[in-house]
Amino acid sequence: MIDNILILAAGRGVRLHPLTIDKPKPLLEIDSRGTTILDRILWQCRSLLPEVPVYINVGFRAEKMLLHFRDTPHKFRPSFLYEPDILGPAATLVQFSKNNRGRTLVIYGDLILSSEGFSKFVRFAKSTESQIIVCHYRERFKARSEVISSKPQNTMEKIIEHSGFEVPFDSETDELIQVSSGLFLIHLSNVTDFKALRGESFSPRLLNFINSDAMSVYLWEDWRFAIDSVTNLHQAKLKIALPGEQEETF
Amino acid sequence: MGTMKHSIFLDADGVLWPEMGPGGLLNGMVEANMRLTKLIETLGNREEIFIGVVTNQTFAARGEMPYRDFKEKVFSLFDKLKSDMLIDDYRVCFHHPNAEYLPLRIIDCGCRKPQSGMIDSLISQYSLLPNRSIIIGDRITDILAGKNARLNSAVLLLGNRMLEMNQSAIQGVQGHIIPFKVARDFLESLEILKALMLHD
Repeated sequence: MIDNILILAAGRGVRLHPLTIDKPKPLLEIDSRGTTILDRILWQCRSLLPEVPVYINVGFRAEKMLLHFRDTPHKFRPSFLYEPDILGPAATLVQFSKNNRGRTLVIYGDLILSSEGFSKFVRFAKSTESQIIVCHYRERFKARSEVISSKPQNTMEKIIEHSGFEVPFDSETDELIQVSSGLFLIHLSNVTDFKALRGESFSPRLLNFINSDAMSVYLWEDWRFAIDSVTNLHQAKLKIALPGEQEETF
Repeated sequence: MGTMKHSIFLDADGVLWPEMGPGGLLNGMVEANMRLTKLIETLGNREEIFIGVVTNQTFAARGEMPYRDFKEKVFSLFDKLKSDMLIDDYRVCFHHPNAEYLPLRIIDCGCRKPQSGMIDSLISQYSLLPNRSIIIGDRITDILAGKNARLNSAVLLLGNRMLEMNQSAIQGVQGHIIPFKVARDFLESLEILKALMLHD
């Protein structure tokens, strides 16, 4: 069972400047109809998990985020978590855990995911009650932060924090290593006592803390984009133009 | 009164009537009557629902009208809503940290939203249950007052000034998140209210 969905969307999106100087990154448009990154995530969640309440944390240009939903029928509108002073994803999750319970699907608000891939992941998530960290393979020299070290049975052993060329060579996968994909299923009771640092992301420190109650590793094998450059935004737009990837209107 | 199933706290300016600036309530009562009637029609079960109004009124603090006259006028208007059974009770904060009228210049009065004093007072007097309570406001300070009073839910009406907060209010919520739902307007907030109460 998935009890809540938390979409992280409060950040400043500085890597996408000038596109995001005055607009939260999840509100960047990804097709000619004006569909935004956030609309797509919500559409995918609503399609596969229609009964699960959705929360979006908002901070940078929060008013634009709220007004974006003015014409959305209220039953499809998410709840909001406003951060006047942007906390960072780790602290947001800890605060969220203080007022909510259960297993929560956390999604980074800058993800553009294959609908087929998301559907497969949700099927897997529904088949288990465990916590899940979604990861994908990445070329060793491109990995910058979280490196998942998973046991053969796909249970997370630990996350190692490295950057750039310091990432250790993984002999089993040659030049590829597992990194976090920005999707997590977390039992909220496991984060309530975490002491988050200001601005802290879903850091190895947080994920290792959550992993005290073992996390399963789900390997994402379809296409996905974490929008951090104009180039991959453009690539994502091409992908979502493919058949079966368009959002249905209300 | 102690067996109320739910309680609803309403801001006044921008909720009971359209935002008209300080002193707006002097012209807002016709609209307030209509909106409260609609609220009661929508929710039904009037006897099981506590309806309270919590409002900051700075007209006198700004020196626009003598405090005594303004207070008398405000109380008579809300007393009329009370006698018509459209609301159960109300609390008004006349203070302002920069009031021109010095007796009203109080920084930490405890009642001015986002502080929770007005809500706490109604909860205490009528033995209301915060976890069965909802606030509707047009400013984040209303929502924050509800959070500070540990109310269950909050509905923020969309508008251009909805997220305005002064620096001391921001400092007061550092490290916290403020949860709420949003409504396009007062009428839509009633539908959300009804859904929240059904879900409760």
